[in-house]
Amino acid sequence: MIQYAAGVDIGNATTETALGRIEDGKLVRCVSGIAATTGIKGTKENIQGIKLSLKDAADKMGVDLKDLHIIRINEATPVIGDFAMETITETVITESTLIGHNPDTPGGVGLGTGRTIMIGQLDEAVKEEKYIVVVPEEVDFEDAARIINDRSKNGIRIEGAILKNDDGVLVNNRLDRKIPIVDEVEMIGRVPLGMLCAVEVAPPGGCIDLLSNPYGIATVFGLDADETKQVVPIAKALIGNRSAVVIKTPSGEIRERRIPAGDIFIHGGQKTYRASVDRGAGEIMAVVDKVHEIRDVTGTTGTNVGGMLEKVRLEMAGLTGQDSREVSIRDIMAVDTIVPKEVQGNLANEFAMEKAVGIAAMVKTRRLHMERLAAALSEELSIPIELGGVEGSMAVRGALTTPGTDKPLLVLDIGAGSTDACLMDENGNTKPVHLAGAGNMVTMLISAELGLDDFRLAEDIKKYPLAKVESLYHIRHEDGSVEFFEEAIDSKLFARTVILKPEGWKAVKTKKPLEKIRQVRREAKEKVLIQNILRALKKVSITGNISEFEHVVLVGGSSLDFELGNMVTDVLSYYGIVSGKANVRKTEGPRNAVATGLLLSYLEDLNHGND
Amino acid sequence: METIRNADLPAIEIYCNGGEAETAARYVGYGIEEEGLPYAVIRTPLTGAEASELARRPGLGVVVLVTEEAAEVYTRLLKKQEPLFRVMLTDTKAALVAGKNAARIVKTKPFIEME
Repeated sequence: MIQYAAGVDIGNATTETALGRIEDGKLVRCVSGIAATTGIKGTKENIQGIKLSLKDAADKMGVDLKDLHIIRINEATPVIGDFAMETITETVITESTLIGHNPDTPGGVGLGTGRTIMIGQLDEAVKEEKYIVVVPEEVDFEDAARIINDRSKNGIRIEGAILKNDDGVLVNNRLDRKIPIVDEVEMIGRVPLGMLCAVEVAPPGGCIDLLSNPYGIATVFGLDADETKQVVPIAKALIGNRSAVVIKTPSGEIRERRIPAGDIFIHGGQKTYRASVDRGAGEIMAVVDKVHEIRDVTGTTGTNVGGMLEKVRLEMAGLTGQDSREVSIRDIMAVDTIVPKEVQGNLANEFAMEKAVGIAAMVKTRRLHMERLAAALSEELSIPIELGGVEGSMAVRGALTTPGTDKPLLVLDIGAGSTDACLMDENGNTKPVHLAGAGNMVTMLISAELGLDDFRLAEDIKKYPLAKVESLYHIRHEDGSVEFFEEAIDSKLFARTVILKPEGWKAVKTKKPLEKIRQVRREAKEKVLIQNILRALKKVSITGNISEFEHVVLVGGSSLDFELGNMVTDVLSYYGIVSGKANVRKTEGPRNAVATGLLLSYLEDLNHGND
Repeated sequence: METIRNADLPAIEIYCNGGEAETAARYVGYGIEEEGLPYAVIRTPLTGAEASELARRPGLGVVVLVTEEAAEVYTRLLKKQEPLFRVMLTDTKAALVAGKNAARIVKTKPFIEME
């Protein structure tokens, strides 16, 4: 007897099918289908994606959808993840005091100090005073240079200049006596006049030395110990710059403020533990590790963390039709990060590196409404639909078709919102674990740490390798290898860091070098994904000893990540664990594990039924 | 052939045929100067093919051809005898950016995008 059976796995991003031709209880041929998931997982909107995925597989098999005898769909894991970023320090300038600005081409070299004066007011300048000239947009470089030269000849001591236009080199080249010049200062109108000011420009390839050092600033402005303490955030914000301006205003105050980010309350079986977000991720995770089984997590009302946790709860309630009070957060993951944030009270879009904590939360609820979906799908296709077993168990069954694997086997599926693991022991018993923190959190960290403000660009950085376009005919890959091309590369990409997407290269428009972007990307993956894999292994282990596992296999779309497989293999080999990406049915790579598992489970049930 | 140089060094050569084009050529030169590179404005009309050939001589390998309407930037980095880019000279800012981008070829820095 010949029959066609399909296993269908509805994921958050893709819907995958494993379609098998079964002859006399034996699987003689199996093909895969894939389509983008339509709608939110577990809703009737999924039907369109399921049909497309089934059609894809049926076409490969050379059959019609109506020839299918049965479809098994996955019992979706009822988890949802969300994440948020909490900045816990903030640099605030209550008076305009700092231009920690890094224009491409400042003028001159050295340090100049004096009182700020508008170029048009130099007629009122006195010979006893030193000056820093402020040049607005409407004064062009030739006029600016001529005025400075004329006044200097009259004995006025001009020690530096602050320009609105990108004219620093042009002005400097026309001066009789060279002075340090900082240009491209956007908010030139906000530069306080008549105030003591220091302008420092380093030679090409160098960094400023005095204004990035609290004692250097103290030396320039004659500060006492208390005042020097106050300027530490300024010095910190200026580290690594080629040029900078610091202006001392009488009431000016710069301080690094710690923002009360709120507390997280982790409710265990017997006790509630409290962790302060502004003490960082280490403290939060230490508390999370203490609690054997988290029953719920809440945050201080009125704080960002409190709001974020409630948002996750409400979203899940909306998805499942449950009361939000019945939805509980079963895991959180926190990571420390440093993010560039615009300095409050800045003059030229200055940024300071601020401490922040990224937090991901995972909610577990009652079963999603897969039964309703199955009924609707069955009606539409006129094919019997069955709900298969637990997603994790099906993933293990599918993963076991990978050559070289054996029970006991741990399968890891890193999704967008959560990390799911499932252990199958020698006897075929399974133990699933769901953890907060996955792909989306990595993307958030990349976006925040690089100051991108563009989730899609950060997502591309996460997924694909980088290269530097070194000439119009060659690129240097991030591993140092060089690739040459016959045709000229688009000049818009010249000298830029590009993401090597399969459908075309994409420029990363940031001043950060390729090495820094790569470092941020890999560290984000280590902080979230690798740490979560270790957490998952500890959770499913009976003894808490990671080394007890022999085989760890990565499945799911995230496993297609170009470097994650190697990163995991590298870390787990330390514990003597064989790990790597799955190769489902020897052909599918890490994809199609759950769908294949569903098909195999049907086959098993069929043969058991025949017995 | 009259030449204006801002330094006695190998320079990016800017060719123009005088008049308004020379004013634009000077601003292209200022753009190059702001990027820290030497330039020379040469009052000689030139074809694109000639500019492309001149760019292949030893030196910085970049030649700019300026007319009243546009600035064309030629580089020896390009195999074809075509300009790497052409900037419409709507104002002095456009000429400055054309100059900065010509210098950025030598500096291997990303180009400034025109609005």
